[in-house]
Amino acid sequence: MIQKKICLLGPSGVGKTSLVKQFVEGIFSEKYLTTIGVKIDKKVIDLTIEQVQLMIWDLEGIDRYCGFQPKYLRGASAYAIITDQTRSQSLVEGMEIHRMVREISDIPAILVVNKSDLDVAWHWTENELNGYSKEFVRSFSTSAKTGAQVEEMFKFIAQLTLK
Amino acid sequence: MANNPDAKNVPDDEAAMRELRDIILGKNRQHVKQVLKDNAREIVGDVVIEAIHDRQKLNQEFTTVLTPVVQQSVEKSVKNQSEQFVGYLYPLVGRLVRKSVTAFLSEFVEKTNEVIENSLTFKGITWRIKAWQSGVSFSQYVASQTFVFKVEQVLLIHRETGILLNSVSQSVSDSTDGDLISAMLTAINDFVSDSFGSQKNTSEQNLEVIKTEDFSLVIKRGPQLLLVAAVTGNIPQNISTKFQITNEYIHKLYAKEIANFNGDTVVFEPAAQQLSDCLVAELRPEAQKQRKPILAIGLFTLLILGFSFLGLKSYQHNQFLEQVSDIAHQPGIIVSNIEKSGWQNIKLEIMRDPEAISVEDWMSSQQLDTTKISLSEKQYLSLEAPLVKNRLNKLLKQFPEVSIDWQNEIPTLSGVLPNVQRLSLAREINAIPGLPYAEELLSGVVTKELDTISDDSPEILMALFEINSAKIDSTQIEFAQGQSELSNEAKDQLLTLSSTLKATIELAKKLELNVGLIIMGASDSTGSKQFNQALSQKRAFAARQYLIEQGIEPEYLNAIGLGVIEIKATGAGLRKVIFNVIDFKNE
Repeated sequence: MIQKKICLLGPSGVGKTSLVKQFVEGIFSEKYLTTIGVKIDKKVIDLTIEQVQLMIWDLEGIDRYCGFQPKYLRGASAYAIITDQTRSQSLVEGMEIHRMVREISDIPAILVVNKSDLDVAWHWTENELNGYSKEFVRSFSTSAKTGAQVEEMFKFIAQLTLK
Repeated sequence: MANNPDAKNVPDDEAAMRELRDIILGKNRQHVKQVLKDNAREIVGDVVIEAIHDRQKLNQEFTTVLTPVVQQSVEKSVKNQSEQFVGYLYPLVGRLVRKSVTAFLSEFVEKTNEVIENSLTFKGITWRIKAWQSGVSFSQYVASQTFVFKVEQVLLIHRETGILLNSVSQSVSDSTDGDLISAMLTAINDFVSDSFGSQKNTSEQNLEVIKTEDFSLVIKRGPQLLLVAAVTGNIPQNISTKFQITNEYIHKLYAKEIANFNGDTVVFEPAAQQLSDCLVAELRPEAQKQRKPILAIGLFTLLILGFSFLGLKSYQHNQFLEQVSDIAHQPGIIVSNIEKSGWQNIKLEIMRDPEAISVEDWMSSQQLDTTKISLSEKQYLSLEAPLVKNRLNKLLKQFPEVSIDWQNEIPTLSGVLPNVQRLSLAREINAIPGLPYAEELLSGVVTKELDTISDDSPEILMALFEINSAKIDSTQIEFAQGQSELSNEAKDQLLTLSSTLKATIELAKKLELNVGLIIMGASDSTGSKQFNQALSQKRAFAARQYLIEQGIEPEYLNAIGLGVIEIKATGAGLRKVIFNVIDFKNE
């Protein structure tokens, strides 16, 4: 079976961990996130042609006080920048993280706008958002709470890693 | 050119040489290559075996490379020609099965020994407690105590992605979630190298060993691969080196696969062979020595003793049961149920003839312990010959005059008995079940007459007395009309009467009775009343006189004349003397 490493990155509090929580099988407690800054889970995605086992590296939320560990990105086949549509700042920070990653890697990336179950509360317009999205292969609007688009998002990443 | 050698000519020479070489060897050594190509088969064919041999001798790489190829060939072969393979294998299978069964058995015995050794020795128990105290499983503790070291699991990890390429382990259960552990291990290594790496030193800091009290992860780093061995105990340097060499070797062997790695781990499956070579262990010297499982031996001995004791008890119990069962052979005893109860007791239900031997007596005679028996008994009548004999013998004790003679179990009675007793004996014999022929039996018993009876039981005396009285009372003597003379016939009657009367008087004496005979004379109505009165009296006196003459004392005799008896009938019937014996108790 093909195994691929992917990374989830984003500012604190956008719901990265919630996104994978109900979706994956894991053995490690979430305290690893704060201890070493990463928690790893796995999920077998059944694409019609073949199965892919995603090793999902859920990186600790990145904010102005805490940088990110570039080594955790090594060997990743794709990554996702997670933002939160209730906070304008999350997209700014997400784009900043994206640029930081781009400095060391050119692997495909997707943009995930989380918390789609809540009302849009940022001031980005559709156009602005589309502008940012151009830097990504694709963007998703997900809800960790309802599960909307979560599976589709991971499936897309899995397909992405095979290209 | 040879005559004018100078510096300028040197390049020319080289060019000429090149030209010459090209002519001889062909452009880009075409000629030689062509020749080699044409003869490649022969050239390689000549040395191929030797080459393989030399290479194999040098290191084991040839086997390693060849193994997957052979495996695949065999697999394909078996798949395509399964029929033939069945044919080849058929004769071997029986032997194989036997061999594997033998192997299984010996392994089983060995394992059992191991279990006994580890569980039933003092050391085993101590270990168990210690394992419990330190919170590890017993098997892990045993491993840590038994082995100097033991490589439990080996992981081969792609360094960059942290993806697990392959893993082998001593036991199947340990190999779970190796992929997550691999990734996490990579992350931890990154974390450590980042956190503790010095800023100035550009070389990366890397984890080499992660160690707990009795468990360590030995990490061997190659350019692209990590080889991680999970080891219990202290690993010696040479084994650590072996891991490193294995890792290097895998790098070499799978260089192409590593370079083209795209997440597909299938290509690394054959590496399991190299990894398995790393699953080594070394026993502690003392563990190699045979320990004597003293506790086990003790326990075993106790068990055997216990079983022997139980066996003996059971044997004795059975013996006892068998001995008691023999009571069924006793006449007049039927065993309706006999069973063991408890450890040593026996429950016995029997039917017993009252004449038969009692259970207690029988058991005492057999020297059996009567306290171990719980007995319930019902009575019945047995027709068995010995009991019939007993009954008859017992009966005859009441008749001492009768003797009994047994021949072939057939009794013959003989003796003399008064009739009454003979009758009662006959009745008793008839009452004995199984002896229906009382009369035949009694044929030898002679009846004795009553008059010479010496038996003076009052009942018999009384009976005789009454019989005699009745005889006397029924006597009547008759007279001719108007006469008081005794006829001859009358005299005969009186003679008999007198002897009966004598016996009666004797009996009365014995019975202490007073007795008297009233002699009553009567006449018919012919003639005057006075005459008849006188006549009747004369007749009574005549009879009295005659009896006195026969020796009867007069005081027993009282003669009276009744005169005419006023009855309608007349004639001879009334010219009589009648008698009546009266008796009364002494005052």
